[in-house]
Amino acid sequence: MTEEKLWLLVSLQLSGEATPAELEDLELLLQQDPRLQARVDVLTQAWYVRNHGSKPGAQTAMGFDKHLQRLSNHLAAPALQFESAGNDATEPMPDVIDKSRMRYKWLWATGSIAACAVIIFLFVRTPATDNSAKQGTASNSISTKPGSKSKIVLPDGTQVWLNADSKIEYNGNLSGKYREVSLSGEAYFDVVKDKSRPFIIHTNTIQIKVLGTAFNVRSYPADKTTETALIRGSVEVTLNAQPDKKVILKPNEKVVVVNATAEKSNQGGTNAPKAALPEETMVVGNVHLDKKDQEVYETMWVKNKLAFDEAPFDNMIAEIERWYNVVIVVKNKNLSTGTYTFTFENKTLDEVLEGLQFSAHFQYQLKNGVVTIW
Amino acid sequence: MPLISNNDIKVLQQKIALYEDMKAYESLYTLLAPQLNGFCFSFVKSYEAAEEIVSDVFIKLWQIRSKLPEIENLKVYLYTIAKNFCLNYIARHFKNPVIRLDEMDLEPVVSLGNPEDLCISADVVNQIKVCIRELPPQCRIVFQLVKEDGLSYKEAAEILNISVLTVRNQVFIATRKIAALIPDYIQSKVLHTGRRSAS
Repeated sequence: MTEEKLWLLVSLQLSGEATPAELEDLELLLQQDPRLQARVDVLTQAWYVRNHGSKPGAQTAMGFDKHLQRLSNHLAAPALQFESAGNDATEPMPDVIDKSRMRYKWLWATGSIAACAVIIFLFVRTPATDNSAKQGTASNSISTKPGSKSKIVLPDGTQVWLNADSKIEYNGNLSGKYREVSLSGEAYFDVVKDKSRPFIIHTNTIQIKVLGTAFNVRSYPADKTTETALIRGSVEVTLNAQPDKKVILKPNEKVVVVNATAEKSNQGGTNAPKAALPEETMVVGNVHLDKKDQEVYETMWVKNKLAFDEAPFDNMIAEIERWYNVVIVVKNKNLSTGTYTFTFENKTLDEVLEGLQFSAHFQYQLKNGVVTIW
Repeated sequence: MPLISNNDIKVLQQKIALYEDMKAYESLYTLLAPQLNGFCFSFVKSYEAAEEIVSDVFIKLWQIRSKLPEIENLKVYLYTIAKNFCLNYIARHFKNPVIRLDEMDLEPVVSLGNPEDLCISADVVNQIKVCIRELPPQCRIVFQLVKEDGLSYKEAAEILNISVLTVRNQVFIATRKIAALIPDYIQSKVLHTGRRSAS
């Protein structure tokens, strides 16, 4: 019976499921019988041979390219060949919505849009008349040029760090029922707590409702996505297009919204097959933490650090353009592949570009505010 | 072949969900497609069909990319989808479909390596292959998931919808049966060539 036990222990060990105690037992058993050791060795060696059925003469593993081809075909005409009703009970997939439910959804959608339109209309009407009655409530707007950043304190005490090429607008002195501002570009907010008067930030795609908290909003019109990263407190993010779709963020979470409009204009050049995006999608994930200092990448710009965490080349270039107010022309298309992780603190443009040269091999020339990279 | 850490998969999962990162998607495909191919082949017994099913699994993955962060173990998830697609395929393409896992005739995809490398005769390797083929279907697929694909007992259990203890027992049964076929006499040879040290 010891042999029975031995093979059980061996099977556990090979599967990586053995506990330290079991490993010790196994060691002991093997010491007692060196002949068994030899057999275990053969088994061990056979165990770690893996080629996943690439049996001779049969395998023509479908390359990724071929798969992509099928993917784009399917996106045009959904309905997978092997997907069907029947065994869905064990499938951890989202339910397939049948047509009649779809129709209800449409009713819902149109209904809620109509309702929203009415509400917005009412809202816009009343404060507008109020505002015109009051004095000195004209809209204030603060903007930064590319290459400069700014810190401002709003009338309610909220601190705002405005990144390059960004603009924030608000009405009057934020004394109304809501503290409402609108933002284009990137800003870090440290909102003063006032439970009775929620702070609301409007961007092109989303609106963010807060009570008192610190977070970063990035909503450059040219970017493909709008991001909100929360540092502390809690915020509620709503899509402008679907006001019933809400996300409440917890600290160190961020929400990324794909800008439907920006995507269309930005699509040139990428070969990524895009799924038809009939509506804006929201995805919640975690902020990028620096492994050493536990600093959040999303907000490093506030401390004048130009930081990227596995950023695609194109995103990085766009950021550098804004940061240093230059135009960058990339002539080498090969550079767009790969992602980059960097942190630059108080560096000049030349220093940044030289730093980049170390990992992305390129030459550059700076002339009249235009950088040419090849 | 190095096994894929679940952490790597988590990172890719995040990138696909947040940034629709095609690079990450490709990496995930390259990492998991071979073993999913093997898994599906066991069911459908055709390499072409298996590849198409795996491709469909990854299409599904792309379609639900925005929901990826909610998925705890993506590998298990993909295997489960693959299994269901295989069952659907069988229901549609086979004359007398059996879709109960423990009655199904599954083709084992278990690699053993060359007889020379193992210091045993080709005859023994063939015997082991026959032995694996004759294992009960459930035992065979469990053994394949754990041995060939390097899945944990828990993962295999989730995919096949059985208990972890069953997985443990099935792997033991398979191991014992195979071990019984490995002869004693190679001992002197192994010691002589000093090919492997004791683990």
